[in-house]
Amino acid sequence: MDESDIGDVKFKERKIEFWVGQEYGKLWVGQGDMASNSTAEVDLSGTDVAAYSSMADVGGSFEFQDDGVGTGITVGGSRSNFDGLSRRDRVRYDTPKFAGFYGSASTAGDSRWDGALRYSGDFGWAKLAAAGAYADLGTSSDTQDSIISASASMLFDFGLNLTVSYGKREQDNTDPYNLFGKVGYKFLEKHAVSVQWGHTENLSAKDDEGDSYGIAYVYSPWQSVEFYGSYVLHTLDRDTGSDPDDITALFFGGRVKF
Amino acid sequence: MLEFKPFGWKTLLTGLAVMALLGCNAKPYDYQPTAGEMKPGPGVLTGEDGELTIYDSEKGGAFPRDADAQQPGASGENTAPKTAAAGTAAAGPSDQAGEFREFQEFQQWQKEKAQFHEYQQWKNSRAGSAEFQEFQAYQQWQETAQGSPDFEEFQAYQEWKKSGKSSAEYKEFQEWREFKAYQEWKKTQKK
Repeated sequence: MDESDIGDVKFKERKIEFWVGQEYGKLWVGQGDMASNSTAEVDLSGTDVAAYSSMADVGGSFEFQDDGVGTGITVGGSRSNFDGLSRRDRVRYDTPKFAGFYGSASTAGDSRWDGALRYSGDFGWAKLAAAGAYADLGTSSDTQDSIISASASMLFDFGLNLTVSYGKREQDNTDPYNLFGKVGYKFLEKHAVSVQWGHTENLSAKDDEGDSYGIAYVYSPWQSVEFYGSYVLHTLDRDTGSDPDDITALFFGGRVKF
Repeated sequence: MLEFKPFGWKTLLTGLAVMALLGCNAKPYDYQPTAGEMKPGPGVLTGEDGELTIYDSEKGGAFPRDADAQQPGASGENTAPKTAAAGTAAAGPSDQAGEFREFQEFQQWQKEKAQFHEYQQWKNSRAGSAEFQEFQAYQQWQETAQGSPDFEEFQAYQEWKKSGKSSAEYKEFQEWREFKAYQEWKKTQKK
């Protein structure tokens, strides 16, 4: 009997958590978002399924080549949005909302902890969402100390939207950081288009610069269904030696929420 | 480990200060992060909430408690509220009749929109508002005399919400119902 299919199936938990409280805030326990997670990814453009501040999500494993010779540096190894501490087994507390603001703090293994402040408000003529966080990596790394991340997105009622993101990791000798910007437009209720640019410095090596440029379009015929297409150009400007060839990615897809 | 270069702190503090100033004039808005995550909202199979509830002490869930009510010996008293709470997935014959009635009302509303808008203008006029106040007094009297129709109203509202209609449209629908009631009242006045 061929059992290869059984071996190929893997289940990995993404979130398994419970929470208590409402009026005085929420206390979360279990595997879930750390307080700082997604603080570099606030995005109201409607195209985030195809393109957001994590530009390395598109073609992240592709390796840059220099005249057909691999450099050993991938797209994902040369750019990042430094988005906090992701999901972990943790204890987290969220304060109640006050005037659109709420704070969060969480702690996980290896003495990791973080704190975040988030804001969202509707001015009538525009919506604004923003977040900022500090994350301490504790004893989980010998070379990396902390991450600071922030992002904001504004969606005007006529469809124009602007998004910015900043992230930085305190790291021995390099301190890599990322800047991201996006201009988008939502129209006819079901369509969204955007152009975006990301710039990461010092990640693959000191003074290396990874730039990504993209165009994205998303069509949502129903709330639970999205079709998208995206074009991304990844470049790497090395501090030493010649610059490798650019990487171009064109992809289409759909997402259905069941 | 709390040593930051000034740039990071300044950026964060400036951003937060700007947001604080802007926030003074804003309404609450519940932003849910969607980048890299599944967006909130309805799913193809999971209904309006986009969630599959295995058990909910009030709503039932994927294995709704309505099944208990249909078992022999289950009391009829418990059936009505449970059916209403479990929503369309467990809708019984009485709910279907209610939905059909609402559908008929909806059709009528569509036909009479122009007339209804004239009524709205009249209601806002000086002469209209005086008569309308009298009508409201009549409605209050009727409600206290005949009992509140809250439960039926609540059911209609829930169904409406599930159909994805906006609250503004629902408000207009409610006003139209009021208009129909007003018409009935006028008829009784003439008699």
